[in-house]
Amino acid sequence: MLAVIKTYSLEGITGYPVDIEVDVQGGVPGFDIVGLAGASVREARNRVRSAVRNSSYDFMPRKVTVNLAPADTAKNGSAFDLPIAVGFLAGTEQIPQDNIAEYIMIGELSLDGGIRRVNGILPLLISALQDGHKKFIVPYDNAKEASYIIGAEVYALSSLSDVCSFLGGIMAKEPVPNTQYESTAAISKYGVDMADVKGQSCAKRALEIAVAGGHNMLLCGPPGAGKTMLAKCVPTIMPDMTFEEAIETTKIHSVAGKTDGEQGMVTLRPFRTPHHTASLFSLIGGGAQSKPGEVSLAHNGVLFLDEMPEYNKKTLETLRQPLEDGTITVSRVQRTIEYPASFMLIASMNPCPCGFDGSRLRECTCTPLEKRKYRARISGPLLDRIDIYVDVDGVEYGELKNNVAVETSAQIKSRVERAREIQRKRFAGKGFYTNAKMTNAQIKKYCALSSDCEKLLESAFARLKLSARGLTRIVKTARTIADLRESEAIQIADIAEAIQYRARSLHQ
Amino acid sequence: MNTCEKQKTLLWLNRICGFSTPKMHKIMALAQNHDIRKSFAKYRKAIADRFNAETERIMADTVSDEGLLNRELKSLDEAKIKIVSLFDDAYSAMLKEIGCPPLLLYCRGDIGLLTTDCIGIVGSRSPSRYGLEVTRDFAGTLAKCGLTIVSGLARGIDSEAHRAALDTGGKTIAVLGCGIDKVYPADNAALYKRIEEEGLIISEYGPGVAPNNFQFPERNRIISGLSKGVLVTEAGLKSGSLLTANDAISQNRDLFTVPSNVTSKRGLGSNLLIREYPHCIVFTPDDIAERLNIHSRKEQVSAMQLDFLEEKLVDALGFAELNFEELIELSGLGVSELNAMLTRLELFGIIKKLENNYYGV
Repeated sequence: MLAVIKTYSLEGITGYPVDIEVDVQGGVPGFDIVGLAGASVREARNRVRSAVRNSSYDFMPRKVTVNLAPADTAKNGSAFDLPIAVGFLAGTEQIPQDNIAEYIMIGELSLDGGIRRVNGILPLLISALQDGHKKFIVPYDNAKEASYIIGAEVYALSSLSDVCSFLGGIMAKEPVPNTQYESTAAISKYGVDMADVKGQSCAKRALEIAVAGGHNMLLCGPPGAGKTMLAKCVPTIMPDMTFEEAIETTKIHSVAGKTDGEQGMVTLRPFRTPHHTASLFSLIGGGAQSKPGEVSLAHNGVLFLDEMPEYNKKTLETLRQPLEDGTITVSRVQRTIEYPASFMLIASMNPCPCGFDGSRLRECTCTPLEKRKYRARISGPLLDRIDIYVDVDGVEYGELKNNVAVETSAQIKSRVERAREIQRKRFAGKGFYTNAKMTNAQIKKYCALSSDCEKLLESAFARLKLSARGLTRIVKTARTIADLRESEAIQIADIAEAIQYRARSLHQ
Repeated sequence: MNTCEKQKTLLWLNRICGFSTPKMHKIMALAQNHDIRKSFAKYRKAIADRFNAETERIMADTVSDEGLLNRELKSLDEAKIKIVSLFDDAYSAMLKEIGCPPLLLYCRGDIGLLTTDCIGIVGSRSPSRYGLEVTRDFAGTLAKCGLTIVSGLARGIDSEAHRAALDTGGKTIAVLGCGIDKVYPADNAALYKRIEEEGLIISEYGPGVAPNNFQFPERNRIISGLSKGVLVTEAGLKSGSLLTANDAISQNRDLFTVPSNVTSKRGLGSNLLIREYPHCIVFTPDDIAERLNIHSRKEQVSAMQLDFLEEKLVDALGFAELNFEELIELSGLGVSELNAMLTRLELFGIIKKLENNYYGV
């Protein structure tokens, strides 16, 4: 007898429908899975056999053929176990077939008949919902993640026998109640606070501006000056993720298998710190399954590259596409997938290989050639995408008795949120939300400068040997500074402050 | 023998026979101011006696080959290389005084600079920021006083001296330790071009000669030889600029040194020079101008209206370089106001932004 079960599989972060056809016939006993099934899908045969037996059903010796339609798309993963087992039981008439077509089933089986959690539940369910499916059977451990999807009737079950009882109407089960999304980005969850950073007022202010305007940023300073600490504080002052942002980010983390069962959603802004030995593929994504990489996992959050010049040069260059478009295209033999990758880049570097160039504490031991080679590792095009540069203080704070009131992350965050709100209104319907993403035409439109400001820029251009691009970056930064003041007009002081965050030339 | 013929003879000895400057001197002395090329047969025996058969053979093989010489002249001309011989008026009178002056100088740029008043400025190839700043200040000011800044186009102090001279609209001569057409170090290609256009590049080595290490000390004697005095702004213990300083002393030139930080190894060599020659210490470019009897042309700094707070910051920075954090404490301003003020002062050229978030005047 033939049974058809509906399920979904992932292509990048979107799901596509897969019909699982299980045909049970008499003949030489066997269990074949066809339809470009990968190794992990073909192994389902063994899991299904044990799970069926251990759920006190009969694994009859029959000629069983399982087809995964569409048959021309490669399929991988263990999420087909449950639908194959249910299809088998329906095909052998051990359970009734009446209502199985109503449900989308997803789940991996354990040998004892239990259902294990799978990756990518959120994107799978969202795609299925868009295709008009309403009822889902998912692993119990994925319940939390699935509960955020409004409009879906999700049944979270923990074993194959439960599924059969439920389908047969023997066991009643309520759908999982919707969880209301609330951003749990309580600053305390990050474990750091801006108030903990001693001194560094200039760098802190620069971070505030960078976050407010979505500007990429480079921190330069000697080892131990606190660059990493500063960068870690960035998520604490970023505005809370909206539901849409959280869904987007969770989709990616879900596909990568990085969601937390209890939490279900990614509610904190991601802060990704790939190590400098990170390979190209771990950074941009790839592998046989074209998994998302660090740039995608940092979507809507921060990608922090500590000691940027230490990274492989080729790896760094691949950041150009995501920095420009907010997406990354991962091409492999089997498929080409586009993942979202819109992040704020924070990079840190030492001024030279030994780290003490210009330091008052120790003498630099690098030769000019070493210094130049070190700095040349960050290419011009990449530098062009970084708006704000700041030197962190190489200073012993023990000597300083600073009376300036130290602000907490919460205080800074409230200013950032107001500035972001202004930008959201300004760019409504433009497809982006931050000053950093303005094109040249938009800069002309939204950053009107008084003649005094123009004059200041002109003298800075001549005196400080700035480039035309450098000027553009200064204007963008000044726009954000004005937004932080909640002022429509860019004033001369805004430009003057922005000039202090200009790029120091790394290439001479 | 007219000048042009002498140039041709020297060119023949140097480029075609491949003789070094000392050997050319010996040969010229042998011929006692007669043109050895025209009457080679007469000196043939003497040369074989004085040197060896190989030398005689090389000279004999090429002496009458006018074509070879003309081709050499043409290729120099095409490469825009001018030659100045010891016997020319264009040759520096100062350089003539030294022990073994180059007989032939290959030049690119304005050869008129050879006869101007020059000062050599040399130092470390990996200087501290202090060394670079002092060099910039001295080279810029002295160039403005009308002195031509002579240096060796090396990395660090040398390059900074050349740049400072050109930036202030002054003149500069770069003396190379390799062939005139070679840029060494290669990263100074842009500076080489600039000096070629706005100053003068000279070398006693013709085109194509590789930068061999023994040539650089020889080049140093030309730097000091051209100059009325030599300033060593910062030199490490084993710096080649100390050789230039020795040349300057042996050539009877004035030697100048600025003191360096005693805790820094980068200035150890120049500090030891001060111990050896206490008289050479100078603190300002004016000290040098005075010793060389040159009138400095002081520029009036355009008076800038500073408010009380700005005045306070500038005064404090005059005593020591200060960190941003210290400036906040000093001024009592917020971060954004202070940054705006620093930009203004920076644009007026009163203060400078340094590494590690330090500021200085």
